[in-house]
This record gives sequence, structure tokens and C-alpha cells, in this order.
Amino acid sequence: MDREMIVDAVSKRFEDGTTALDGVSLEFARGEFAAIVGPSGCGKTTLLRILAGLEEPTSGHVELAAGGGRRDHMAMVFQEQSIYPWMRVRENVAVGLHGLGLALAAARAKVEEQLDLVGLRAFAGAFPHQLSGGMKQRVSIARAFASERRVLLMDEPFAALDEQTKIGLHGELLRIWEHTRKTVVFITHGIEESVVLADRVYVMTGRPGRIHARVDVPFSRPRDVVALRGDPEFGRLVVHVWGLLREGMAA
Amino acid sequence: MSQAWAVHVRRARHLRGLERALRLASPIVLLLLWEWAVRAHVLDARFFPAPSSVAGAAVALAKSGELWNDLRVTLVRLFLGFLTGAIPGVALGLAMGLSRWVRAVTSPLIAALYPIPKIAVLPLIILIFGLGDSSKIVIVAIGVFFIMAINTSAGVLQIERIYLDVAKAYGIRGLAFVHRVLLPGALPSLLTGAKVSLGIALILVVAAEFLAAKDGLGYLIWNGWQTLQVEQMYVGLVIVAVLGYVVTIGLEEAERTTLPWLNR
Repeated sequence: MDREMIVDAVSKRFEDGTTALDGVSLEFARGEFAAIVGPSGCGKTTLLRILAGLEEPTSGHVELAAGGGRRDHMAMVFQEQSIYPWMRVRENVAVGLHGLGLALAAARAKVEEQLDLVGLRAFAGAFPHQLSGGMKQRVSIARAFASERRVLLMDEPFAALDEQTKIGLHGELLRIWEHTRKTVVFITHGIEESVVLADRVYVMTGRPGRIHARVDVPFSRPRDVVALRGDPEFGRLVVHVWGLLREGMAA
Repeated sequence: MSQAWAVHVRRARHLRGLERALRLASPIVLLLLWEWAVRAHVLDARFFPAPSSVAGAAVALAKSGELWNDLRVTLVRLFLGFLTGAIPGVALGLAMGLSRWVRAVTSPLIAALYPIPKIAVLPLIILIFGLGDSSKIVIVAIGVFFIMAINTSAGVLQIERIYLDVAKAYGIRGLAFVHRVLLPGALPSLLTGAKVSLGIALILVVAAEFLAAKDGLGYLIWNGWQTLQVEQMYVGLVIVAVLGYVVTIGLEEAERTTLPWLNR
């Protein structure tokens, strides 16, 4: 498989002396859906921000097969409310198109297409304060997919949502992803979530964050995010990841 | 349940109507009391002319065209002074909000200069800019400048970090960053600054017209006092009050209709 991105011995020390990441090395294949799970405060958000080019590592580096700057290839979906409250839904999605140099008509078509994919066409003219939490995250996802960037970085995008909305969005995310097969790095502390979504799950240790283990998820695509939960193999994997996580915290 | 709700809605509507009626009634009742007090010689008509005679003076001034001329002149000075102060004020405020270096250089200067009563520098301004319109425009601009700079910088600083991260992540830079992220993000604070500074601007323009003008509402008031035409003075005061009211209400209305996302 083609390589998309190599993370080579990335460490991050903050000014106050705490070490968030200690020698993290990872390899992402093109079109792979990777999840990173770890205890809270293990530096996984810091890792994602480094991948996104929002922060620089203290040592080590991130290498992209496509070359060029990280920020040109990464589309980020943030954990908290990150769509602009002063823009309508359609303008928020269009933020993802910034710098693509599309003509107005093409940009409009692209936005409509993304809104259709996340089922928000009827809300194109709405402001974020008129939307539910789940809808806001769908706008954020549409913005990221609209950007046509190669790698999608997702930082616990569903953490603030209730269980039903979350499972609904898992299905939607996978459905949209099947269309594009972008490379995805998905950060979460939800073990089930990581197994439902990802091809590969990386387990991190507590602070300072290191990669403790890698688990391959064998389920075929496309996946049914509800039926999958009834699969005995699913339960076995969840328990396995749990065990690794506990080991990592003790380490 | 639905009946209780209907009763509740009816009562709420009734209370709102009452509130609106009180709002309208209170100034009218005050005016009526005033009129009565003057006619009953409780108030001295030389200092407190009855509302009816103030209205009479207003009509006379309006007919002669003097009132409209003074109003127009003051409004032009107010408007030009506001723009002259607000544009560089907002620009400096944005720079201060974005860069700690700009902040480090300018904030002590602003802290020292801002509290100086602007009227106290009017003699200097007149020396430099003369007795014409430009000295009034400059004094208004100075007052507006500081308030807009301070409010804009505070507005930028309170924009949530995540919104700046999104701009960075999606490559929104330069002018697009200013008008799509910075300005709208700082807008609530900016609008507060505009409201406050328009009030201050009105005070400054009237005060400057007291001291150095041959027209304008401030001149109307001052001239009324000097020639002992007390009614004329009151006409000027009432117009200034109405102006302040209209500007505030107008800005709030504009805010409501053009920026619906502000009323979350």
C-alpha cells in the first residue's frame, strides 16, 4: 500500500517543562482509517495539532508522501464547536474551499454536494445557533470533506454528543468516507468508537504519550455500525483494546 | 395544560402591552407636569420655560431655516469626525489585538492619553486647525479613536482560539482573515464601542460648538443663553437629546436586523 504520512520520533515538550509526547512514530497508508485511543491528557490532541501544522514538534518530524507543507494537505475536524457563528451553514462549508481557487459556480455546486452528503441541504441558509450539536459537527465534517485535502484529522469530533446522535454520525461518517477514501486519523477516548470506525487502532500510554500498541481491525467495508456491535469478534476486540489501554496506563 | 398555557400567554402579552404603554406615558406625564408647574408659577418660567413655549420657539426656528441648518452642520461634523476617528481606531485595535508587540508599544500611550478630557485640548486643536469645521471634526475624531481602538482590541482578544485555529488550518490569511474572521469575531465589542463613541462624539461636537463656532446645535444652545433666549437654548438641548436617542436606537435596530447571529 502507498504511504501517505510518516510520523518520525515526534516529541513535544511545553514551555512549563511538561512532556506531552515522547518519541511517537507512526506510519499511515493512503486511504486508511486510523484511530488513536488513549487516556485523557495523553497528548493525543497535541499529536493531532502537530499533524495539522497548528503546532511544531520539539523534536522529530512529520513527512508527507505528497510533499509540501502539512497545512496544505490536512483538513481538521475539531472537538469543540468550531464553525463560525457569524456565517451561515453554506458559508461555513465554503471555508473548506478557501484557497482552492474555484469559480463561484463551481464552489457553490461543491458546497451543495457536501451539504447533501451530510443531509443539511435544507439548513444551508441557517446560522449555527439554530442547529443542534450533532448538526454543527456535520457542518464541520462537510467543511473538511469540501476542502479536498488528502488527510482528514478528527479530534474527538463526537465526544460532546449524546449516544444516539453519535452512533448516527458514525454511520454517516463512514458512508461519506466510502465516497472519497481519504486517509483519516481519528482521535478518541471511546474504544468502541475506534473499533467501529477504524482499520487500525493505535493505543497510547498516559503522559508522556507514547504509542503502546497497534491493533488491526479485520471487519470488511462497508460496515454497518449497528450490526457490527452484535458481532462476537467486535466484543473481543473491544476487550482486547481495553486491556492494552490499561497496560499502557500502568506503563 | 393548554388552557393554562393560553392564560399564561395572554398574561404575558398583557404585561408587555402595559410595559410599552408606560414607556410612552412616562415622558408625556413629565411634560404635562412641567407645563402645569410653569403655568401655576411653581417653576420660574425664566429658567424653565413651559414645553409649549419651547415648542413654539422650535417651530419659529424651523420656519426660519436656522434649526435645519444648525442640525445639518452638526450632523456633518459628527459623521465626518466619527469616520475620521473610527477607521484608524479600528485598524489600530485590530493590530493591538493580533500582536503583543503592537500592544506593548501602544497600550501605555493609550492608557496615558485616553483619560485626558478631549475638551481640554480644544484650544490646541483650534490653534492648529483653525475655527472652521476641521477643528470640530478633529476633536470628535480624537474621542472616537481611543474608544474604538480599545474596544476593537478587546474584541479581538476575546475571540475564541478555536476560530483562529480554524482560519489557520484552512489557510485563511490576510484580508480574507480580517474581514471573515477578525472583524465579525470582534463585532459585538466593536458595536458597543460604536454606541459609546457616538454618544461621546455628540457631547464633544456640541461642546466644541459652544466655544468656537458660528453654527451648529452647540452654537444654537450657547447663543440662546448669551442672548437670554432661554427657549432657544431648550430647543437645542431637546434636539441633542433626540439625536442621542435616535442614534442609539438606530444602531440597536441595525444590529438586530443585519446581525441575527448576535442574538443567540
